[in-house]
Amino acid sequence: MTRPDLTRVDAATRPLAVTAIVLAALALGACRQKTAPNAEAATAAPATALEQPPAPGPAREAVIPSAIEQRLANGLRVIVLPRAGAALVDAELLVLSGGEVDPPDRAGLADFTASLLTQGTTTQSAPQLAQAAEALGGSLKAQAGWNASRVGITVTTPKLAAALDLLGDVVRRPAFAKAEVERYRAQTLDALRVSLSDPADLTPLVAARLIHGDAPYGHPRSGTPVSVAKIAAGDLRALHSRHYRPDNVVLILTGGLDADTGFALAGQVFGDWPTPKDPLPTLAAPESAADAAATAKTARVVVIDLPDAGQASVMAALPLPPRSAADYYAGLVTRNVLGGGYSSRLNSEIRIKRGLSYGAGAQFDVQRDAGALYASALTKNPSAAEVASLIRGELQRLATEPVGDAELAARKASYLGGYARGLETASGLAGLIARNVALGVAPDEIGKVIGHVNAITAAQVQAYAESHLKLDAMTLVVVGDAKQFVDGLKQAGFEPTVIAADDLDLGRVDLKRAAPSAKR
Amino acid sequence: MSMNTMRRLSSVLAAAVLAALAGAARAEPALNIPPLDVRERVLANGLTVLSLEDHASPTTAIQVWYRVGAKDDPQGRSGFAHLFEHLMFKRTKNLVDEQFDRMTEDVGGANNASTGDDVTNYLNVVPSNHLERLLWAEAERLSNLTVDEGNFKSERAVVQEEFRTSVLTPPYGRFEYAMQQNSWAVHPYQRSTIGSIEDLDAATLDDVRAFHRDYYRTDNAALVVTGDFDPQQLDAWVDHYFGKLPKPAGTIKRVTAVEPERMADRRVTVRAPNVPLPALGFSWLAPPPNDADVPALKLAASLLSDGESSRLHQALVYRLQVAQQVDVTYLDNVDRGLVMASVVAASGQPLAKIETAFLNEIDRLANRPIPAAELDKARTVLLTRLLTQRETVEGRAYAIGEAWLQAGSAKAANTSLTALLAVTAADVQRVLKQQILGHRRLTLEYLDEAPASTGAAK
Repeated sequence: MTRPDLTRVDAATRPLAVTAIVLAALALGACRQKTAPNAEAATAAPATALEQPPAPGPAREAVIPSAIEQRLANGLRVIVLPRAGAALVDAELLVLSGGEVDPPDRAGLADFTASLLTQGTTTQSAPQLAQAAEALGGSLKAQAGWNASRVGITVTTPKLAAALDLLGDVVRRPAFAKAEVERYRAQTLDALRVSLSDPADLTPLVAARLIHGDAPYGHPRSGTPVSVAKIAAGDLRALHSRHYRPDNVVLILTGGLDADTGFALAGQVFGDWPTPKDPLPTLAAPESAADAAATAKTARVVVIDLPDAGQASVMAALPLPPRSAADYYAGLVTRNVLGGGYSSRLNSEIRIKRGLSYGAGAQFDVQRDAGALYASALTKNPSAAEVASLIRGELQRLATEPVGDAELAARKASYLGGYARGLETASGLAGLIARNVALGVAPDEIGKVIGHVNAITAAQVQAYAESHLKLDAMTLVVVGDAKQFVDGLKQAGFEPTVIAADDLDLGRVDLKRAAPSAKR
Repeated sequence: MSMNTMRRLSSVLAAAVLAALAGAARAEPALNIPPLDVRERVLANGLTVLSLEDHASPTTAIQVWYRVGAKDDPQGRSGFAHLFEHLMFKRTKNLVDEQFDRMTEDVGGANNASTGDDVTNYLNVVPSNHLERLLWAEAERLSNLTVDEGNFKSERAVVQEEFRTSVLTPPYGRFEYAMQQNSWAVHPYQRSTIGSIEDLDAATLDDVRAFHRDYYRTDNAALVVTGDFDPQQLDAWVDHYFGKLPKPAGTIKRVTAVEPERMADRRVTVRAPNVPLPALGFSWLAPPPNDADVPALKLAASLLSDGESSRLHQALVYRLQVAQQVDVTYLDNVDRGLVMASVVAASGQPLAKIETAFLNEIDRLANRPIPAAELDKARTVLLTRLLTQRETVEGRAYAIGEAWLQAGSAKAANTSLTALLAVTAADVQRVLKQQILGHRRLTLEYLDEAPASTGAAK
């Protein structure tokens, strides 16, 4: 039983490339896939139990390592988090500008730019770069998130210096050669053809558009067939010269290195990168995001009709406040009660009790300037309306009744356990720091998460749900074979607008390609 | 060099090999890769116990690997071993439904399980002070499973949704399914692990009881424990909770089917709904995972398709731009291996052209000199990936379980690394000629059932 690497990415950051899925899933076989039952349902053994499990021993505390930060003279921040004895080191370079800087008619520009970094520099061709990175044992991975673009590599510790040379070359001197731009465009258009035909991939894109409208997080971050066709080499160069500058860059090094080595290498590779005289461009105030969130207060139900779909993908979406909100951790815990881990309420109601899905869960997609909650499940087409009603019911229950103590403690522990396991690997550590930095949060937040999460009360969860998870602001998206569930949705009190998949244009706020009459 | 005859990899040897790999271009310190120093016990009832102590974090992984998989599905019950795996999370004499979740994720741990063609494994990771509870619970579901009709039916519905999610919904789900069906003539590997809706519907509670009795026995399992524990304490707990289980009577049912050599190349066309880009699949029968040729086959697959610098990516995706994605993998099924390849076409590119280009690259790798630097690259990539897989307690437990499954001993986790690093260009070319070019090939064309149908959003 071979298990080739499955690319693990969350739905929000899923790259559009047709990643090596084809053989992986077959070889993997089937598994229980835990996305996440109700904690109180079964804390006690049955009344007839003959034997109880032994009690746990005394707990050992996990040690959360702390990061060390320095700034080079040109403004570039270097964050090092050493792990004694680690055989691997992860290097992530973060440019603090991501898909949110895409111009309205150039959706996907930041991601296109990041992806082209590894496709040739002024001194090395794309094949030479791939060869050089893989000779070090890793591969250069570049993509744009919403708030930052990122290129990184994991190598064995002796290869760190050479890996940083490569990172420096691709970030500072990309060529954006015409042939490479065209090659990447063709590949991206094909990748979009695949992902837009997959209900699981398409649904979050539609939901994000409905929640965020034409504010930055509304467009597809990997672009649309229309926008990708328009992007030119000049657009890539312009974005690069505006945003790829040392005072907008953070280098994160984790794993088998000591801090002094990290800072010295960073100075060697990036110390002579000049800072432009003009000030760093600032993002327009996120008022458009707030506007979009305001317009999203109107509940909407959209069905994308994909007659060949093997299942319906059902997703409820709600706008949330940005990362800086005071009730962020209450939101995080609320999400975990609703849809985090195997035993969450959604998975309990939809999978465990009713067998309607292989897994149901919720995503807490909170960014620097706005956020959203996505609650979803894949189910056979005829049960789409039942699943939609169950999701709505669970959202409502969060606001109307307090979470029980045992359930709350269990959902926190489940989240924090996963969080702590993420700190076990070099790339996990780097990823956590990168997410915080991209959101404008200090790197030492990674040591405070456990305390913040544990402090959240049932009353805070209920208050969060009351103010942010209002059913009148809920958007519902169902992608699947519409004829099998539209009537059911209507009977359940939803009023769906049906759009044929062929007519869908994610580049437009109204979602419709021809836009005959439905323009908002 | 056979993996079976190798002993534990010494760290001195590993460092020397790596120093040689580092090359002359840059002076690099040698990397010390410690072998997994696994402790191995076999209890009187036949249970194998494999443990590896490490106190880096206060967590412990507890896994139980059973030698039963989809190949053991009863006749007319494809998907049964996997459905059974799901039922192991339901009640036992002393555990309520889903109590495993209470004992793992509710206290900051996690659990999962998976079913492959040859194996079913149950995977837990918990804060280390919960180790004894998990040993109790794993012994409990090995010996006292009590599934009822309600649980059976609801979990069967979940598995049917899983079938839809993995086969019917993703654009290439049916492609993978078809590749498995068509790659085997006789061996039950031809059945998909996930089964079919009809076969799952045919399964009964009596099937569940019989399956548990036949395969879930101490002499058919390995308990793997890694991470933060005290070895003496572990032994005492294992003796107490597992040692009291009786030695099973009789022998274990085994698949005896032998896949015959293919007599001719075969070509199949599969049409399916929602195929955004056509795809090509290839497969060749290959040696089982403990065969001496396997390290060279794995390295060959890596040279062909691992990463952007690989031969096939460079030729098909980069230079010719005829493919969107290409992959070659050695599948390490215990009874008989398989080399499987897939290519997703770039839009508008004829499959015939892709096929020619694909076969040209295999031929070139088999017959023209392979630069030393390219071989070094492939070794370094595989080594780095192996280290990445072993960064966590779960990853190390998994590596140990896999070695036990494939070679009967945890020691193979170390010897397979040595074998991989020792592969030469001549080895790669020899196995490509013998196992691929010298073997019969399945070619599968995967096409949309109605080329002009609606479906993909533009």
